[in-house]
Amino acid sequence: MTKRKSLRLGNRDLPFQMVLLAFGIVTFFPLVLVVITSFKSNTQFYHNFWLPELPLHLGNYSSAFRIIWRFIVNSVLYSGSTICLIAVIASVAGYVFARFHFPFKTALFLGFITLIMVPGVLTLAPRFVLVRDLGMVNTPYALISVWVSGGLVLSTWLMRSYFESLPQELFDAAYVDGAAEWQVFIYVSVPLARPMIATVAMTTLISSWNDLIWPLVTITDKDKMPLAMGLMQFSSDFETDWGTLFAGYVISSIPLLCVFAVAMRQFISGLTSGSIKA
Amino acid sequence: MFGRGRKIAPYLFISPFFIGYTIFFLYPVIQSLQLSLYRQVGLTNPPRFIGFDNYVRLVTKDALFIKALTNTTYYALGSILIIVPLALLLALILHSPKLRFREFFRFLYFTPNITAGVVVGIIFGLVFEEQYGLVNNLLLAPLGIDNVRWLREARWVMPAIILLGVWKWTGINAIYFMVGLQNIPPELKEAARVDGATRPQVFWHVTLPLLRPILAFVLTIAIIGSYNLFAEPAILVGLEGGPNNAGMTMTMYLYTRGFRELKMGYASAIGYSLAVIILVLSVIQLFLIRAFRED
Repeated sequence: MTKRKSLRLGNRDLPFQMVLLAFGIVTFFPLVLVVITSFKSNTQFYHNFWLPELPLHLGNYSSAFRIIWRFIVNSVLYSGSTICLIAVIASVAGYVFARFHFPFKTALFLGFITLIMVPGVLTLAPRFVLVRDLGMVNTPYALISVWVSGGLVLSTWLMRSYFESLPQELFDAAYVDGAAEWQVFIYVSVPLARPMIATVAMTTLISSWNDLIWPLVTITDKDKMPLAMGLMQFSSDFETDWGTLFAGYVISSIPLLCVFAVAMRQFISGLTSGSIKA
Repeated sequence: MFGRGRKIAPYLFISPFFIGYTIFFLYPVIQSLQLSLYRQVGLTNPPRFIGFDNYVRLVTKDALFIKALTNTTYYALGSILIIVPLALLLALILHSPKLRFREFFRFLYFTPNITAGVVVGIIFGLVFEEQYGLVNNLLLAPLGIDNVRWLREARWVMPAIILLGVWKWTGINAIYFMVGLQNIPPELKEAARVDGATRPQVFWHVTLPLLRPILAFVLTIAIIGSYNLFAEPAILVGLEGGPNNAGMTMTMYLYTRGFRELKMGYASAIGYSLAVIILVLSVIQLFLIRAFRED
């Protein structure tokens, strides 16, 4: 009975699959275009805007890589540190906000969350003065400290919602077995929260990796620039050389695409582990 | 149970969060509130206290501020009304157990969001290009629609930026909805089905109410994201917002006043108006979602 029903549902899902595919093509096409253009010389680009053309100019990639690699290494270091700090601090804070009862809890939390509405550029000038006074201008610390504190609000909120959604029975069972609070946190809550930690890591990665304004204000040395800022520099250096420009864009997207593929699997494993259903 | 330690522990554990947040976030926020009451041009000139003059000038004399506000609200409404239902639909389809190539589709959708703003701005310059552009040539021409002057005619600039936003943000919002769907026990839906509820009924009365926290989150982030929109339009149509400033967003306006003309006090006042608008909208939105629960 159930089997037949699910089969029927499967057939009905076909149009949905077509919707997915159509939307996917629309989404992907502009990116395919970047790849196509990255193999062209300028003459080929102006001759034919959209379609691939032979011969392929692989040299675009080597000349772009010579410039781009440094920015990528920088971004990996900066964003990596940011993510580690946020994952630890936000999990702990989110857990405490979700599962503990203490005076001023709601007031504190609402106070934090309200400030998430403050647009980043609002604090740009005072933040710059602060970082200058702390002697952090033109150092990675300027980026990491601000990215961590800026990303914490959203991440803590995400972690808190996730921990709140876990059923109370799960915790009760652990308490009955004599687990201390920190054990419940490390051995029960964090493993269950892996999908959400992956989401937090990914949103942090995306926002720090792609932040443009703050590095523009604080970083001046070319060899310290993170990728987003380096790309801007690169774009103005190669403004008229479309092939090299787009080859640089392709190279610059590869690290995030790779990390992303791995993080997706983390999502899936969280989905199928089934421990949430308990 | 643990006496005093038990009482202090929670505060201790949130203290790293609290300290980092206070130094690099809260302090600058308060600092710029003070700045918004001063007339300060440049980073080193002495500021002069002028009370609420900056705010009064914004609302009564600054046509460009009103323009930027209107543009940004247009973007917020347009993009949210398209992105949220679309992301929810995608999440539902991606969540369905029968789907093949699920991982492939997910990967496909999330790529725009991880593309750098500079790159997106430059790509969409080509996508909306008038003569050779992707939209005019491949989508509109086959339908017999004449070339639209996307980035050159004031009324088309914002729709172009909205389409850019939909392209960039739908996928990541689908992630959020998907994580929410993962948390709904399948037994609940099955129970409703056994009770004779149709699929739309299950969606409307079981799935959607349980997705409420995620929906609130997605909407709040979307509102904040809309009013913070900067890199993509700035690169797509320039910092002045293109023809008749049609693509000038609040953040672009703040940036030009503050960091091109170095009017720090005035820029802080713009920032605070922006913050208040976002706050009010988010509260209204949370209130609406709560009302929806009472149903």
